[in-house]
Amino acid sequence: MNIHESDKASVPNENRFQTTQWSMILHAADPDSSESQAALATLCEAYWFPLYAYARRRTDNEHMAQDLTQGFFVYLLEKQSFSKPSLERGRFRSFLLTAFKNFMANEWNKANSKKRGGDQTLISLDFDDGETRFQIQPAISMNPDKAFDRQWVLTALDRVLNQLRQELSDRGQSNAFEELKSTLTEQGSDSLYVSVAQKLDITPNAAKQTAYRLRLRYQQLFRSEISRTVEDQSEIDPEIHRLLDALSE
Amino acid sequence: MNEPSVCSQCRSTVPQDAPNGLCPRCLVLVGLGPQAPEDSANQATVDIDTTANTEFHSLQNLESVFPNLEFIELLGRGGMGVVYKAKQKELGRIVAVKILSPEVRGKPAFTDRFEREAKAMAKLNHPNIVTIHEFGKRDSLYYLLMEFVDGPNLRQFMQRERLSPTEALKIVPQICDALQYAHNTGVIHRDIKPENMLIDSRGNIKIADFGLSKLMRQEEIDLSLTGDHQVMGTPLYMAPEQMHQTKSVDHRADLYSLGVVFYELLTGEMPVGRFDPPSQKSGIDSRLDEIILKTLEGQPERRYQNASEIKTDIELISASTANASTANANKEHNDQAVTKATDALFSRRLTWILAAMWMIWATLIILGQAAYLMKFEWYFDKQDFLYKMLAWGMGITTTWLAFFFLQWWYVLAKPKNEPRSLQGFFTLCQTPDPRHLRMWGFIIPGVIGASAIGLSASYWGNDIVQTVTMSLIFLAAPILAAMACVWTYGFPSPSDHDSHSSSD
Repeated sequence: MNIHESDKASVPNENRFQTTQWSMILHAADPDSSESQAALATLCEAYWFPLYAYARRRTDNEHMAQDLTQGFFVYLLEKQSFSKPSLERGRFRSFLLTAFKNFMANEWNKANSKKRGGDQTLISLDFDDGETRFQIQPAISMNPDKAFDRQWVLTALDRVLNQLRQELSDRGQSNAFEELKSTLTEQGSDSLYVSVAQKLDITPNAAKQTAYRLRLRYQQLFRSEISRTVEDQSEIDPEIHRLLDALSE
Repeated sequence: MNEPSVCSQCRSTVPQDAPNGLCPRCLVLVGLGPQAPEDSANQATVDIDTTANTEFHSLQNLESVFPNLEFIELLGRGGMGVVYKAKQKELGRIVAVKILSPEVRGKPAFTDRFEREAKAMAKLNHPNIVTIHEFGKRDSLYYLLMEFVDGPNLRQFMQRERLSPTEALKIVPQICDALQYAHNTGVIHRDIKPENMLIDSRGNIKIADFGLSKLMRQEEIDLSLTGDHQVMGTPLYMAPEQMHQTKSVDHRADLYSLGVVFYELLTGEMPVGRFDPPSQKSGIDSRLDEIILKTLEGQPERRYQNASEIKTDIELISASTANASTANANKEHNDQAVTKATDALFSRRLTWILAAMWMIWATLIILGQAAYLMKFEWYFDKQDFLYKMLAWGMGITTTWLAFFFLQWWYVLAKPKNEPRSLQGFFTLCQTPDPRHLRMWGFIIPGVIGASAIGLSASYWGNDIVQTVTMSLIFLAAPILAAMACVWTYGFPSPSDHDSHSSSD
C-alpha cells in the first residue's frame, strides 16, 4: 500500500479552524480545480477497496464488480460530475457509497453501452490484490451496506497501522513495531516487556516507554485519518462511533 | 482455515482480515483516545503506569468490575470521561454509567473531593436535571450511575435541525428551572453548554454534569497537566469572571453560559466580539434581545441575578406575542423565514419590469393601429395583422396578469413579518383558502371574457372604432382583474408591504 508523503505532513493540530481534506473538497470555490480533484483522487485511492467489496457482494461477479468500480471512479474523477450543489454534507464514506449506488442505478448503463475500452483512471486500482483480500473476508453473509462500512473501518485501520510501521521503519525501528504492536490493544504484561526488551536490546522500562509512545502516535494517526473524511473536527468522534457499530456482529 | 481467535480484551471474534492480526474493535476504541499533544516526547516524564489505565474499557472488563450491571453500549465520551448505557440487573432499570477519565486520578485527595461533589450532585432531584443514583470508586475507576436519557444532547439536536424560536423558547425556561433549583441548593454547574443538555423522547431538557467541571478543573490545577484540553471545558460558554478568575465565581456564571446557549439556539452562531442582536438574525421579538443581552453582561452585577427572573421575563414576552399574532396556520413558517431575496420571481423589480414590458407592448400595439389608420403600405392583410396582434397581446397580458396578481395575493395573504420567498409562496398555496375561489372565479373569466370581446370587436369593428377597441381590449383584462382583486382583498394598504426588504 502506498504511503503518500502528503499524509505525513497533514497530521492536524487540535486547531478548530483546520480544514479537513474532505471539507476542503466540499467547500472548494472551484470544484474542478486541480487541487480539489487531486484531493478527491487521494481519498478515492485510499478507500477504493470497500467500494469494490460492496460491488462484489452486490453483483457476486468479479469482472462486473471490477468494471463497476473502475467505471465509477472514471465517472467521479474524470467526468467532473462532482460539482453538484445538492451534495449532502456529511462524511466522505456515506457520500462515496451513495454516489456509487446512484452510479450503479443510473449511470453505469449509459456508460457501459458506449463500450469503453481500457479507461485509464487518475488512480491506480489493484484488482488482483483486491480480489484476494475479498476472498479472505469472513464468509458470513452480510448486508452489503454494512459490509461496506465494516470494510471501510478495516481499510482505515490498515492504513493507519501501515503508516505507523512506516514511521518506525524510517527511524530504523521496524522490529519495535512488530514486537510491540500487540500493546496497542492489550495491556502488556511485565513478562512481555521483559522479552521484548531482550529482543530489542533495551531495558524493560524503555520498552514500556516505547509502547506508550507508540500508542499515542497511533491515536494521533488514527484520528487524523478519520478526520480526512469528515467535514470538521467535531465530526470525528461520532464517525468513530459509527465505525465501531459497523464492526459489531 | 484457521480457527478464528477471540480478542482477550473485548471478547469479540478477531476476523481473518483483521489489520495486522489485531482486534479491530479494540483498535478503534484505542484510537478514540484523547488528543495527544503533538510532541509525544514530552510525555516521557509522565508515569508510565497510566498505560495500564487505558482510556477505553471493554464491556467485559466493566462487567467484571460492576457485576450487578449489564453493559449495553458506549454512549459517548466527553471531556470528563466515558458514558455507557447499562442495565441494573435486579431492578431491570436502564441507567447511564459515567466513568471518569483516568488522567484525573492523581492524589488521594481526589477521592474526598469526588465524594463531596458527587454527594452534592446526588442531592439534586429535579425533572430537568439528570438524577444521580449512585457514585463511587471501584478498581481505581471513579464512576457515576445516573438516569439514562433516551435522546440526543442539545448540540446534536441543533445540528440535525434548525430550531424555530418557538421551540427554543420552550427549551430555555426548562433550563432556567433546573438552574434555579440547583442554585437554591447551592450547586453551581460551571459548564453549561449544549453538550451537557440532553433531550428525552418527550422533548424535556435534562442537564447533566452539575459540578463535575469544578471537580475536574481542580484536579487539573493540582496535577499541572497541560495535555488534556478537553477537561477545561469550552471557553466559549464561560463567563468572563470564570475565564479570567479575577473574582470569585458564583451562580451567575451559569446564567451567562445560559445566555450564550440561548443566543446560539436562536441564531445558530456564537455571540463573539461585536455580535448582532438575535432579533436581527432570526424573526423573533426584539424584546427578547434585551433578555439575552442582559444575561451576556460581562459584569455579574449587571446580569440577571437569578435564573427564575430570566424565565419570568421570557414567559411575559411569549404570552404577549401569542395573543398578538393571528391564528395563522403558517405561523411556524414565520419562524423559519428562510431565503435572501434572490428569489427573482417574486421581487418587486420583476413586477416593474413586466409592467413596463406590457406597457411598451400595449403602446406599440396602439401605435401600430394608428399607423394602420394612416395606411402604411406594409400592412398587407388587416385581419391577419390584427389577429396576430391580439394573440400576442392576450398572451402577454395574461402572463403579466398572472404574475402581478399572484404576487399581490401572496403579499396580502402571507404573514406580515415574513420576508418574501418562493418557499413561502408555495407553502401558502397549499393552505386551503376560500379567497382562492374568488380569484380563480373572476380573474380567469375576466381575462377570457376580455379576449372574446376583443376578438369580436376586431372582426366586426370598423377602422376608427378599431383603435379604441384595441386599446380597450388591452386595458380591459387587467382592469377586470384589478377590480376582482379589490373586491376580494380590499385595497392593499402600504403597511402590508414589507418596508424592510431592501434587496428588492
